Amino acid sequence: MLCEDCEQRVATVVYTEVRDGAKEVRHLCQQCVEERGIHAPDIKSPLESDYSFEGILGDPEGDSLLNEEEQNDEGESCPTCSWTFGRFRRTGRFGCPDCYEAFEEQLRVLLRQIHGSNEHLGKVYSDAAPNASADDIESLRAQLEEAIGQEAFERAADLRDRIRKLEQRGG
Amino acid sequence: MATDGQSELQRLCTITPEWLIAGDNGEDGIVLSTRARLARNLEGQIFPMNAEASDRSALMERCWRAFSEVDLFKGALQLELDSLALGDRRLLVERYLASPQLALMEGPRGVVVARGERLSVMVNEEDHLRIQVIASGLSPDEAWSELDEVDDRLGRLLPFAYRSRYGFLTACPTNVGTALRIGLLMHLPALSLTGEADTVLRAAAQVGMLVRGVHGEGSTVYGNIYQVSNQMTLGRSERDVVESVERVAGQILRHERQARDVLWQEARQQMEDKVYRALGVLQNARLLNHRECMNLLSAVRLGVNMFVLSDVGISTLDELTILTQPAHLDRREGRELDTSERDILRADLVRDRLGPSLGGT
Repeated sequence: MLCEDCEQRVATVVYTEVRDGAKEVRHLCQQCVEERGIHAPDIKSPLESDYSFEGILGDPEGDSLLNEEEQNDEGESCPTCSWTFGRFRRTGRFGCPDCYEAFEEQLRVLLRQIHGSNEHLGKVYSDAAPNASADDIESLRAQLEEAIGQEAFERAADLRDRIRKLEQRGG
Repeated sequence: MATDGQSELQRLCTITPEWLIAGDNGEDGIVLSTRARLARNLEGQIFPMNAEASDRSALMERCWRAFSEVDLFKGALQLELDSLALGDRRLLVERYLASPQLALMEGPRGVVVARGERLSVMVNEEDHLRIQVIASGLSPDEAWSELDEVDDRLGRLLPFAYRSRYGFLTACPTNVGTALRIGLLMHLPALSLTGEADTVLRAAAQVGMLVRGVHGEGSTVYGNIYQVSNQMTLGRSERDVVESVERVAGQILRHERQARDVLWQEARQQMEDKVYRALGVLQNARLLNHRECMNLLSAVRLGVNMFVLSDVGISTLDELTILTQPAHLDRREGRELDTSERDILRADLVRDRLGPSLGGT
């Protein structure tokens, strides 16, 4: 896209400005960035720029997605593995697959920041083994009931898909 | 499966991995190899870092059983890292069969190696499974197709953690989605000589590529060999990843070739001088440290690629690039050497392969 300032050159810099708590994103060209006197953070050599959560989640003193209260608190925990969001923030790692449901709210923003997207577009996993038995379907149904009970609708939708697939395979 | 891990490790420390043996891929030898890697976790299982040792052991057993049922893993070497000495774990890292993290962490964890090291799986690293295929030269499409098949087969035997919204779930959300990383080992000596490597690689980083040293995160760049891989795994398909890696590789290749042309046209004597001096040192040195050795091999490789040198084979350079690494030398000698002992052994090995040397051996 073209630079929003000069509307002539190609925008190469995404500039986020926070003013009075409101966030404004502008796409600018290098020249206009310099004319605005914006001091770009030092771009490290790509060899040093390994991915860091510090940048996204913020260090305790710096800007952060999380407000102060959340930073002092370990936050919610995953019902399956008891992992807390605080631990995730420190380690950059989740405790188990179910953490993706447990921290779904925070995750949506985070994934968008990391990947520019929060929707899977790749391979579809037709999970259970092709010889899945009636027991598997029963077990999935039980999990579905539970998920609905917990209002974990994302997970419920997944389970429903899996049950359907298994039923179709079973003919 | 092969069970005699020790004799197999002894064999590995003397051979070039099949994936490095260069095919005629028409890419001037700039891309040494392509590695495609998938992270997979098992549904309902705690991720390895958070799991009890007993659970990790049970999971590893379950994975071993699954591998034994897939013919692609026939005759595979199966190694439990807990029972390997640190030197041997480092050997696996030097051959790209284990990550530095897997080598250094504790607890039940393993590696399975199949098809002449082309296919391997790390078990209980950060994710339950890290499956990889390494192919020689620039071949993201080929590496992905093979990996895709292995993934399909294993996915029928093991229930992978997957949600339609997020794709394959991983311990770290930077890998979630396809959980696919395709990394190239690129040899970029001309860009280094002309001082453009940083600019070109920074541009690659800006379009979503990770540029690192040969052994991934935090590793050093030796001998002008860089690892370039995709960074993002969510919101794009595996095909998108293959294409974006091919596209960026094409751009880096173009810059490296241009830099080689510039060297040829404007600084041919300096370039030839550098190549021949490097060869002279390699053929005659009595002490070679790892970094120096890699840098000299890089200059000689450039000379061979540019037809300045004709009597050195690329396969010899490939072999030396792998076999002169520290853990390889230790294993070859059968004990942990100190640095100066390694430097002597390294120089001996290089003279043996690149002779003729002056003043005897």
